[in-house]
Amino acid sequence: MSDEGEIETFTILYVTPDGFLPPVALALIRDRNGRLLMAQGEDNVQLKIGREVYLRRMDDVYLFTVKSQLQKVQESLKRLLRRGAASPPKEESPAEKKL
Amino acid sequence: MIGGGPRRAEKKFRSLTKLLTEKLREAIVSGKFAPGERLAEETLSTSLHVSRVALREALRLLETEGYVTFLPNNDVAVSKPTREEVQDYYMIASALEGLAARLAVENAQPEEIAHLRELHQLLKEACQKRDLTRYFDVNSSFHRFIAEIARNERLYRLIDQLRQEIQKTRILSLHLPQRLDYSMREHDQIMDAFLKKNSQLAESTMVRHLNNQMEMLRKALDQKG
Repeated sequence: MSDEGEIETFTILYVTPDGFLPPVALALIRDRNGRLLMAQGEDNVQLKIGREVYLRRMDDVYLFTVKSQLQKVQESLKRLLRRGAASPPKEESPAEKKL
Repeated sequence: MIGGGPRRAEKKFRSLTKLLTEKLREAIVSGKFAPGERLAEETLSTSLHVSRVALREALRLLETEGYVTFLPNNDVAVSKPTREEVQDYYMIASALEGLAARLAVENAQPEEIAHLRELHQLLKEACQKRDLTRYFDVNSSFHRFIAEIARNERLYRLIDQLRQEIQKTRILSLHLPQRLDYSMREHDQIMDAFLKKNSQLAESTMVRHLNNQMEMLRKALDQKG
């Protein structure tokens, strides 16, 4: 199985079976070998037909992650880790001050 | 880090959950988020460009590792054990794990002792590299394996449940690097008791090990106030 592909089409489920927290993204992914696979998204944002994704298999399920989202998240996390040492806990959301 | 010297190669993540879990763990371990600090899911998910569902999955994984705690109103906070929690958990743990150590010496097969030695060696390596996170992980495996080879299913389940609670105290241990060498020496003594097949010694060294850990954590909590 190729570990990269492209979104052929997708849908988002808002009413999900037990054990699946909504919303859940399901997509048909065309992998680099040309095969079409049904995969569940690790997230449901930044979905667009044609977007490049990473694919992996967990038990019997294929999962995909949008490459551009992963890049964005990585950059945001870098900024998070670069900020100064945490201030003491306050009433208002501390995360707001730091990001 | 930004600044002089060659740039290290970036670890290439291919999984969003893995990326979030590892980096948030790093943020907690390095003190970017303080013990007890609330993590506002909505704010965090917006600034990280992820949905709350994806963020929550990462936070759930961190909860199983003891780094964060889910509060009754669905808030999430960096774990901050209380003095009473530390005392209660470790007092019970020392009694149960002492018993497990004694039974394990009596019941263990040669290949299980060999596996325990391997885990002990991994502990030594983590200690030498001063890799606290790695030390915790292997330490957890070492204690769980002893509980497993004691061959008492109910005892194993009790210890397993307790260990999950004790995981929360690892946040405090991260700020006690001096404890690492003492902990390693105590593990050497436990391993020695297994090799000598001395069940009473295994029990007493295990009890002493956990009592010492409890004392160190209580002192750390007293200092922080």
